[in-house]
Amino acid sequence: MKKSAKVTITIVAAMGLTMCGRRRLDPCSPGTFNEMACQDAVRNGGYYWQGSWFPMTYSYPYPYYFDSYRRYVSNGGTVVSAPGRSYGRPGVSTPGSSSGVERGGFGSTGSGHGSGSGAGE
Amino acid sequence: MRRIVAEPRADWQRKVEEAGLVWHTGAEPYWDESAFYEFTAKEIDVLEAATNELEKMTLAAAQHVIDHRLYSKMGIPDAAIPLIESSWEAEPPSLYGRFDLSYDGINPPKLLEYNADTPTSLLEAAVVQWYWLQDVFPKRDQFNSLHERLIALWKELTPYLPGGRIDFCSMDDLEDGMTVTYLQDTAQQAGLVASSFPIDEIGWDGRSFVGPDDRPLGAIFKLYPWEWMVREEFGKHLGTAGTLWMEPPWKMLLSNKGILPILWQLYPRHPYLLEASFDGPGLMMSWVKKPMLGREGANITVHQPGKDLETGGDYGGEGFVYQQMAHLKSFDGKYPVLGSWLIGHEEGNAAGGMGVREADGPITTNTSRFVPHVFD
Repeated sequence: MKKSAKVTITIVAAMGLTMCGRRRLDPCSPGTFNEMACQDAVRNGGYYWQGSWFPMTYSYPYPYYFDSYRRYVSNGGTVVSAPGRSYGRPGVSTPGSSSGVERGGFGSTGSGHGSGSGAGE
Repeated sequence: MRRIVAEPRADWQRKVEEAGLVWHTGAEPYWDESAFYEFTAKEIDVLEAATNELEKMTLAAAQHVIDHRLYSKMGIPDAAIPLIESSWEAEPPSLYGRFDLSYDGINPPKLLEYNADTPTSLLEAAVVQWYWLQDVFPKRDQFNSLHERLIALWKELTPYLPGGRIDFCSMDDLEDGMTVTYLQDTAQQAGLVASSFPIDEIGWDGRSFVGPDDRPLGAIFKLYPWEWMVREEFGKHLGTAGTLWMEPPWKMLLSNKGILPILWQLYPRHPYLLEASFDGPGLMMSWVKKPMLGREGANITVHQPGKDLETGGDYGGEGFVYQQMAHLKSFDGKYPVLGSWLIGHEEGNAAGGMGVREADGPITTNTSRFVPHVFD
C-alpha cells in the first residue's frame, strides 16, 4: 500500500504550541526566544529552567541569537516564549534530586553541539 | 520525475503549524510548497523496490560486521560491542529508518547514506505533506503510508513493551521534541501508554534508569545517537540496566558511514550502491569524503577534478569514508535527495513512504528544504 487512507493526529497539533509546559525551552532558539533570558544565558553559559540549572554552550555573543530570532520572525516563524519566571533563579538551587536519583547523565554531547541544533538527522 | 512550481496555499504557515510543523521557517524557509515533485507510479515502484532491497542488504552487512568484528574499522568503541552484539542476538523491537537516495527518474536510485538510528523529518513526510496533498490535489496520490504503518507496528510491538508502555525522549529541541511527540501520538493511537520528556531528565537510581517521576523505565524510544550515549556519563549503566531501548544498540552499525564501504565489499557494483572505501578515493575521479559519524552534511569534502568543496563542523574524530560522488540531477537548479522510509523490518515490505529534501548545492544539510510530492 503506497497511500495513507486516513491520517489523524490527536496530540501533535495541540502539543505544537503548548509543549512549552512540558519541555524545557532554550531562550536563545529563534522559535522559543526570550530576550532577557537569552542575554543571561549567553552571559552565564546556561540558564535555570523551572528551578534547575542547565549548562549550555553558546558559541556566539548575544546579538547573533537576537538577529537569528529577528530573521526567523520576519520570515513568518512562530515564537513560543515561556514566561520569564520559567527562567528564574531559585531561592535555593535544586540541581539533581533529593530522592537519590542522579540526572543529566545523557544529553551533554547534544548540548555541546550548539543551541537548537537537535540530535536527529 | 519532475519539479513543478506551485502557488503556496494561502495561510500555509498556520496550516503546517496546525499539523505540528512549528519549525517551518528558520533563517530560510524549511517547508517549501512553492514547488512539488511529481513521480510516475512506475518510478515509485522503483523506489519502493530499492528501499526493500537495501533493507535486506544492510541487515546482511550488519551481520557481516559482527561476524568479522569490524568494529574498530568503524570507530566503534569497545564498550559498545557487548551492547551491539547482545541486542542483535535478542532482536529487540526496532521502529524505523530512512535511506537517503539520489534519483533522477531514469537511472537506478543510489544509496547516499542510511539514517538508521535518529532520523527526523518524519512528521513532515507522514503528516504535513499528506495534509498538503489533501488540500491541493485530493484526487492524486503520494508515496506515504507512514502514519498507519507506525500505528500498526506499535500494535505488533505491544507484547514486547513492559506494561504496554513506551516513553519517548530527545534533546530539548523543537524539531526533535515534536518528532518524538508525533511518535508518542502514533503509539497512543495504537493503545499504548506513553509520555515524552527531555533526555537529560532520565535518571539513574542505582539499579534502573528512571523517568522524571522516578518511575523505572521499562521501554524507551530515544531520538539521540547511540554513539553519543555510550560515551556519556550514564553510558556505563547501559550494559546492566534492564531498560529496552528503541532504536536498539545494533543500529549503531547501520547509522555509521562505515557501513557504506562494507556494503560495497559485499555487493560490488550493485546498481543501488556507490563505490565506497575506507582507505582513500583510489581511482574515483569525483568523490565525497564523509566522517564516519557525521551528521547533517557537516565535515564533508566534495572533490571534483579541479575543485574541492568543504563544509565545517566538529565531526571526523573516528575517521572518514570515501564515496563516489553521486551525479545528482539538477531540477530547476535545485538538487533533491529522497528520504525513503522504512517502518519495521518485515522482509520485502518495509518501505513506507518518502520525503524530498532539496538544496541549492550538491550537499544536503539541516537547512535543505522539505518539498512535498505526488505520484500518478
